[in-house]
Amino acid sequence: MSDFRPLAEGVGEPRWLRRSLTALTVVFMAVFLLLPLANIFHAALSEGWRVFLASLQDENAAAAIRLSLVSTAAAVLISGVFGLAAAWLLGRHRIPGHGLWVAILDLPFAISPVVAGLMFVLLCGQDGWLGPWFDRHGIQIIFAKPGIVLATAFVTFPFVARELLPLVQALGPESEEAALLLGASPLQTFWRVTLPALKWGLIYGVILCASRAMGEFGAVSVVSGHIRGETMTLPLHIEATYNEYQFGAAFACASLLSLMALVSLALKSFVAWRARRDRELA
Amino acid sequence: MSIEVRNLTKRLGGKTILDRVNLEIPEGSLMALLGPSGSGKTTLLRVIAGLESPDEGDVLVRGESNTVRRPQDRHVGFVFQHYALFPHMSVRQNVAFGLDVKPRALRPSKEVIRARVDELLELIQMDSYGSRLPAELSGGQRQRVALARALAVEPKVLLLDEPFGALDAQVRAELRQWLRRLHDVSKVTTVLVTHDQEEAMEVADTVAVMNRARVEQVGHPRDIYDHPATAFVARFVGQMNQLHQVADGTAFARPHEMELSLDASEGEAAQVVKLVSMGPLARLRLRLPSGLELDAHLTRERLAQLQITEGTHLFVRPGKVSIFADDYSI
Repeated sequence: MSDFRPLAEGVGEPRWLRRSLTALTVVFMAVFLLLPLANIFHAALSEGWRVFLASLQDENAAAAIRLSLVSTAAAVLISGVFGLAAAWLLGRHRIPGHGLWVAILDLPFAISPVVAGLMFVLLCGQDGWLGPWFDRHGIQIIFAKPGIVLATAFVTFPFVARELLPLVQALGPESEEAALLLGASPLQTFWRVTLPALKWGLIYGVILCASRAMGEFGAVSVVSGHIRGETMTLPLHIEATYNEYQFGAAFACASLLSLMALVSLALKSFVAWRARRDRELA
Repeated sequence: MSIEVRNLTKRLGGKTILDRVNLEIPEGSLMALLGPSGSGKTTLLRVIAGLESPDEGDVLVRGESNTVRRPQDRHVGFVFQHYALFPHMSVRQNVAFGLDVKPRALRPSKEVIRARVDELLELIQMDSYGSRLPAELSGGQRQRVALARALAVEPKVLLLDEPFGALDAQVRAELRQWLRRLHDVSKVTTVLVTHDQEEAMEVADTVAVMNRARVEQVGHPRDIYDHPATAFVARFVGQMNQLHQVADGTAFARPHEMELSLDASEGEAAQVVKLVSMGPLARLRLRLPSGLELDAHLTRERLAQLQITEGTHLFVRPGKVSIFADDYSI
């Protein structure tokens, strides 16, 4: 959530440069971002409303939508809880190897999602370290839903932690110390003082996390096994139908995914605006 | 004895922040911990509060060791320099916080809490501000709310960490007097940390001057000024002229103890290099032929009598000299 402040008139670059940069940006965004997006909706509806609705109600499509929603919710929960814990730990305490831990937070961003997926296959697959143990206990991780959730959570882990870490540092320990000295237990201090102060940052991080989880393809593709109606998320379903030349169905699902992205974009802007307003009041 | 600090030592990363500090704070009194930044005064306050644990020594509150208790069981009221109000709570909710979080068995009823908050808001003269958020208040108002919040739980001791440090001079002076009146009414044993000697002198019953992790002198504000125990205290509290080396240390004299005369038989020759005359007192800066510069304060009448202006040549003699063994602290 960054702040924007325009340069004063007459400061900085000459006017012609500013105007041509503006024109370049507008043209680029129109051609490379808005046009393709509009085209998805156009293609989705090109065979009519009936085909559009039927493609979304198709058994496999519906299963994919459900799985996407469930795995997104699970990933958000996992990275929300662990992100909050990690941000609080790293923002409040000096633990040994502090800088290293902060860098490790970003690991999922640095690693290609495909490699992340492969890591889980190597770890939990049949020939992996933990695979045989899970096998003996009748738990299937890879090529099943738990693997999809794990891969999604791994890829989206940094969003909440990264968003909260600077907020925890800026909040400082004083209000928590004040609460403790007023007789609050650590748990009361967390619920009544720390969490409300981090509220908007947490919501913002969760939205970023959810929109990324919804669209995650690479890591999920590796661990999913592509079992129709069972381990296919929405992005995987779109690719599969597209490869089978069912363009109408593929674009219908793609438009749904795009719509979700637009909604999360709107939510994100709203939250950033609210957080800024609260901060300006403070 | 309400608070007793015994042989307290605190180290942090190889540095000694508190070095065998002993201090006794009588029940119902107001003590100021006065010292430059880095002298350990805030750390001492935080150890008394239980926000830091000492490496050696103990803090007794009403005869019981306080260092073994959890912060929330210490019954200590603490006021931070930057208020540390809860930004998402109204003034009322802030003040009521300590009562709201009490375990159910000990928590007063809603009506009792409301009455107590009303009483405190009246005490801080902010009855009509109950529903405001901290962000909507001035610095002085925020600090008064912080004080009311600390008093709500009826603490055994009240600890104030540079409470007026972030406020401008006029608000500071008002709040200082207000704090003194509040203390006269409430009689809660209070420790005030400050680097502002005027604040310490004006508000406190007793002043403890700290320097480099140790308490250098404890006493009544007037005694500290009139009879400083060390060279550091002499220089830190009030203005002091450093005169010359003597056999067992250095001689010092206060600016108002400097006697000026136009008669050559009375003291050393000096020239007035700066004269500031404001209110009943004139402040002079004198330069001796040796290059040494001294401050002298004298009354308007004496100034007129001697007909002193900038550039006047005169003779100066210290009326009262204090001699301190050299310490190498500055």
